[in-house]
Amino acid sequence: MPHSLINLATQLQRKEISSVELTTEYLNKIKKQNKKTNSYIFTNEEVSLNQAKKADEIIKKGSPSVLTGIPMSLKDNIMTIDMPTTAASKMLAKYIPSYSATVYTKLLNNGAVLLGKTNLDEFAMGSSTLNGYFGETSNPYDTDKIAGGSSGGSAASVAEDTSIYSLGSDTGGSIRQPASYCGVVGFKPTYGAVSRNGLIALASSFDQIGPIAKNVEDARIVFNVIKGKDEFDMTAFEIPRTTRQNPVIGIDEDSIQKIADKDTLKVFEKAINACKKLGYKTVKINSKYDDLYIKLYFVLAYAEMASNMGRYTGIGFGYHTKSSYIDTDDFIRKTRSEAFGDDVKTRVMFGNYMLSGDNMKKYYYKALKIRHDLIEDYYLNIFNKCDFILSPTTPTAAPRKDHKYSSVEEGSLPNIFALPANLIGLPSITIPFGMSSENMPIGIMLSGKKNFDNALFTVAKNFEQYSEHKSLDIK
Amino acid sequence: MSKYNLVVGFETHVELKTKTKIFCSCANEFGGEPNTNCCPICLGEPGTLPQLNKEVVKYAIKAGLSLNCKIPQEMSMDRKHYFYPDLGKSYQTTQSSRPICLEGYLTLDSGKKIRINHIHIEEDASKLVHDSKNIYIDNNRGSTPLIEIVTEPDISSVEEAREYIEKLQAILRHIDVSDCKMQEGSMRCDVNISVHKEGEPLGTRTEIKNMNSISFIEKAISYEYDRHVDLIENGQKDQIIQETRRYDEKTDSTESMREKEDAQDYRYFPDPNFFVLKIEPSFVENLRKMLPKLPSEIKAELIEDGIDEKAADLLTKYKNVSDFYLEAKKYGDNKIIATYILGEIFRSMETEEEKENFDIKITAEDLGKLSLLQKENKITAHIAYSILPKMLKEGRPHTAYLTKEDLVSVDNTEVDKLCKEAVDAMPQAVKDYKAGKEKAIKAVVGYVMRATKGKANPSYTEQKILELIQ
Repeated sequence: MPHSLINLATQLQRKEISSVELTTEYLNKIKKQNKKTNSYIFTNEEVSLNQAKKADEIIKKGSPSVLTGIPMSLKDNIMTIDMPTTAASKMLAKYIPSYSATVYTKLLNNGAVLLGKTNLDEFAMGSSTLNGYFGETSNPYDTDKIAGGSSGGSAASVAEDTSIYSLGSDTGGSIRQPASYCGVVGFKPTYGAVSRNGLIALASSFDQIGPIAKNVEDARIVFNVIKGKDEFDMTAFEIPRTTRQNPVIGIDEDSIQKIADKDTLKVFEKAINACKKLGYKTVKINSKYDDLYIKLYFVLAYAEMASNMGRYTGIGFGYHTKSSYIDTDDFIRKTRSEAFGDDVKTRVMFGNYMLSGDNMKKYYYKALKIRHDLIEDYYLNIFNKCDFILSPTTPTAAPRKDHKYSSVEEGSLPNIFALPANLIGLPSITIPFGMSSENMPIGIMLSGKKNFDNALFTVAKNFEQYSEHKSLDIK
Repeated sequence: MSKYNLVVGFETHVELKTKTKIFCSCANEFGGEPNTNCCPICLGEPGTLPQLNKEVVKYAIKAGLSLNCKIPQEMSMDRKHYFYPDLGKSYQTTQSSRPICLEGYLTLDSGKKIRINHIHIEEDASKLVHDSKNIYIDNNRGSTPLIEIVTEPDISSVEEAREYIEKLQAILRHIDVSDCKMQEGSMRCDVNISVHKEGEPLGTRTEIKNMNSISFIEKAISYEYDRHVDLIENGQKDQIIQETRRYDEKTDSTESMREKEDAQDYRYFPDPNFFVLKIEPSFVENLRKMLPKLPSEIKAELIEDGIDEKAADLLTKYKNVSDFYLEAKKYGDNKIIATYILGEIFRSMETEEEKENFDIKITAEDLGKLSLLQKENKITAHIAYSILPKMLKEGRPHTAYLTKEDLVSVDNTEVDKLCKEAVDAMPQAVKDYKAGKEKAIKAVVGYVMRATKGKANPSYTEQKILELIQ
């Protein structure tokens, strides 16, 4: 049984262990384990231990919250005033933010202890955590396999127990896909449920920060702390409390059969059985926009990415070219050429192409319209029949690092089940549910209607009881 | 020459004087120590998000209402992309698809309406200071709020262009949304110009960017008009190309900016950090109720009150003058106050800016009371005019300058006697007057004024003299 948030909170509050002891133990574990997986980009013992000391004082005074003294980690695209925030890019390799993300402030207000910043794909652009400036993150179950991404460092750190929980960000599956590959719980909240203030923007209308944790209850606890309205994010709001009695579960059997591999289908079969055991009615669903998810994501999300990446010019902050330049344009061009990796450059070029001249109408506005139609279809068609959608999280377990995809579209398949939640703004959670023939974790994913985050947690917890997942036990 | 019509449209940027910037809580002040009013948000640091300042929305709606615009119930924000050191995020947050105000107009004195296509809100760029080697960035101006007022090409003369800008300034100052100081850059104009023959389609337009003086605008329009007409007359019509030009005041001519800007693709798209923003009609109606009287309304009232049109124009041109006048009127005689302001007080002010500021040492109440004394014949205009400069200079109330003697008006029987004496003493002047030289009567009046040391009422005196000689 891995260290869960609830267990440790109880031990801390009973003073069986201090936060300083716990934090020291985790910092030592990171030192050892990071050589194998490289989950962390950066740690700072002094900062962590100071926070732990403060937490111990709060516990001594008798006013702790459940997060007080619990060591955690943050994906390195979440602003932390006391540790660098690099987005795993040469562009921000030495960047120390002048402010903290709202989520970090909220965690600190609850006495949380930050162990360090976890690895990701550069600027969260990727699904492997192989392409960052600070190297690859490996899957703790098998270091020849990918941890997934872009929140690969966060997922791996929770799986290998170098943090109790972590926050990642999910733009097109970036929390759920790595969480599934690493055998942990990952939750993407309703769009707007958590403030994005201090999250380095990738695609602003898709991005959400969410927890990666060892079980559904831990994720729920963390989510309840970080959620809410924020004066620094106009799109953030207070989600209502929701419950759903006798939920109906929608399953798109046809597309799952078509895309998922044998091992995944086997685990998924068990999830369908769990529905029966739980007394949940299941219905067949299908979306007529199935084959458009990836295309929509490419056009819309990449356009937003290209726009959001504009600020990295070397002028105000971050890396700037050391070579000579003729004018401002030349300076900016050299800076960006030298500091961005290939994946970032590709997306910036692709996104700007979508927004340029006539393409704006031909692609961008067309995609925007289809996104709108897709949302309407989900509510009129799919959520008319069911309350939650069940699917595998990914079509396969974590692939090998050297696995080559034959096309860009095939390369996006690992996120195919995750994408609708980002396109529509739905809450979505992955639960580790079984193991592959190679003993790699396989997850199932549940998504609910917008604002039904609470109800989704309840249903996910019920499924969790039937999980045949095997946790790692790394000492 | 006049066989070509001039067609002009304006895009006017106006800085709003809200307390804080458009997307953060930094002070909306600049000119001070560089880079002191900025924060991660207006610097465009990673991870920051905009929070739309509600005051900016209010100010823009007020501007729209006073320019007869419709206020749609929904608006959205868009991003306009370009790389330049004055723009930290490399995009400007502005409005292109759904602006805050639509379809208004501004009425000229002739009754002609200059249509407003729309007004949108946006953030200003930072200020760049160049020296021979470097570019320095002052971010105090970055993300300060602007509105851009875009007209249809309805202006057809240099005079109308001047009147449009002056009226726009007066309106925006009256509703207190901007200083509209062109010389300080709080109002800047892009001017679109084309020419065509009556009955023919509009010509190719050129745009002169960033004009910061009305007289330069006039000169630039004249220059462009001549340039276009010359090119057409010389068979070089194809050399008029749609482009951005710059006015050079030293040579009094325009030149092509030949910047990439003409080919620039701004890649406008909806800013995903804002949802579509709803504007409640009740919110708009409340703002409408709170709007002060506009210069045109005040002017109409002044004319109704017996002030002549030209004076009414001058009194409502500057907000501070109009405020002062309306306040002074409560304590005295409106026409006399108008003559004080437009005469003695304006004479003490050399520049437009001084009139705009109207920073004088006399209170409106004191000036009003002075006018009342004159109106009630307790003092003469002559005396009022002799003490006004002292009041303006020293700032003491009028009572400090009036002697007992000043306050006693001259007995009319005494004046009657002096009038008779004057007619007798000046037969030549009387003869001249009767011969048709109307001005000659002034000499006779002058005799009486001298004898009373200016205390006689000149109009009464003139009346009396006319009676005597007829």
